[in-house]
Amino acid sequence: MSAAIPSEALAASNGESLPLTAGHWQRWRRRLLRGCVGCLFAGLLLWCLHPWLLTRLGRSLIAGDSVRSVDVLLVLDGRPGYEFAEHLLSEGQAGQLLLFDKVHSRVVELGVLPTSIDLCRDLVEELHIPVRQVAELPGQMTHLDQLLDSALRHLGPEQTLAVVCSEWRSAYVRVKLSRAATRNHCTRPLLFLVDDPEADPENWWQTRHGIRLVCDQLMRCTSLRLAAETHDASPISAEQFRRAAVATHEAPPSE
Amino acid sequence: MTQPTTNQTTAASADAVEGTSGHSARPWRRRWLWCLVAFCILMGVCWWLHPVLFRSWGASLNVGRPLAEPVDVVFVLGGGLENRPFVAAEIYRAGYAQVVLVSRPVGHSMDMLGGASEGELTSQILRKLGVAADNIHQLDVPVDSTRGELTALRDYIAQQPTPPRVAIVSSDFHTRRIRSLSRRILRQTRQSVAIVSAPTDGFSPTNWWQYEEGISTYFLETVKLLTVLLNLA
Repeated sequence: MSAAIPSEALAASNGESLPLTAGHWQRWRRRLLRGCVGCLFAGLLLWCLHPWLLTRLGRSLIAGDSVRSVDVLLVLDGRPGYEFAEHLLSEGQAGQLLLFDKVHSRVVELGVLPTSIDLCRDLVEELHIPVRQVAELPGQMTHLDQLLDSALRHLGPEQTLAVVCSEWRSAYVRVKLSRAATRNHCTRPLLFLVDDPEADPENWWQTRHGIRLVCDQLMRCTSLRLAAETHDASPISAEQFRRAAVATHEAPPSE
Repeated sequence: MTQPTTNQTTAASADAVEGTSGHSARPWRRRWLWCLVAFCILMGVCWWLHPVLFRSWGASLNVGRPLAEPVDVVFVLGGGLENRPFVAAEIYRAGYAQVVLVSRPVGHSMDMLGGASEGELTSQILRKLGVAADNIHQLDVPVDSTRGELTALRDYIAQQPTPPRVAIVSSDFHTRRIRSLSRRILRQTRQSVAIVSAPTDGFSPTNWWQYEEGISTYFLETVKLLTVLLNLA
């Protein structure tokens, strides 16, 4: 029996260090080969499943409610959102559209871009939404939390609010809505979604815009869980721009 | 007496080495335990060092510097209306450039720019900031990426009678990718370009991980930089 026991085992039992034998190398080669085959198989599996996996990933960012009658609508995203709101108002599924102003950026202050509320008013006029169905929130909003709090405070008793946003932002906005509802001691407002015509959940990874959207939203959802700050109120000053532009503010060196 | 004892010892050792019996689970369990402990220690160290690590990453993405020498053309990249044109205008006003070149990024359906294109708005901002209208040039080709913008810049340089000295202005987190791409794309023009960082509102390379916008921006930039470095795009 003892003759069948490998010499390295005997050495190990006696506390001696093991010399590397051909058997060791064979074992390691076998492990390496197994590892390579495993990786290849995993890669192949991932490649075969990538459309399904990426579609699931994209869909995990989409979390809206089914459309139903509400009292007040708040649109977060662009022209498609306002077109959808106009449709709901004309169908009688919503009673009022809330407009809001964002804090004026330096481009707005320069007079190059209209204010956010002016852009919204123009859109409302262009879409022929009756003025009696439009209300404006007071103040300038610095971030989404402030906007949602302000909208919830605007609601009368028993009134319901629905937020209209792009489907890609919905998981993020939904978390924000839940938190706003908790802060304001009310039920969570509904979330109606509009499609982004440039990115489809079925093939978002095939376009730059789609990849950008999904990465952005995944990180925003993650940062919500990391409790990152929503905003920093200190904007860049003109002096900071000057210092970033040239190394010295004296006359340029002669050529 | 000695014979059975030796047999027992050697058999157990052989099992441990060959890994053929129930005893073999023990070393594996120990190995997993060590791996877990090492992983936990690594995570702890990473958490402890995360401000240093993230700050270093932020600094490594920001390779732009303020201009020390005058250039002929300042090229403003699209995608940062709130900061990039402001730095370009400062360069022009300091007398470090005669021409400001503006790219023509394509719009997206969710943009709320009041019907104007980003290129037009950049030109308007520059004019408001004191850049003479004649000194604002706009690229002809609509572009949807940094690569597209630099390719358009290469074509612009090629059209000039003498190759101009160029400075590219973009957001601080974007400058490393620009450097990698410009080395590749502008290689044929044998033109070295200066890269100038425009500071970003809300976060900086030294505190980006504390802000939602910063986390999203730096993650996306890291992904984009990887695609450039691996030449995937």
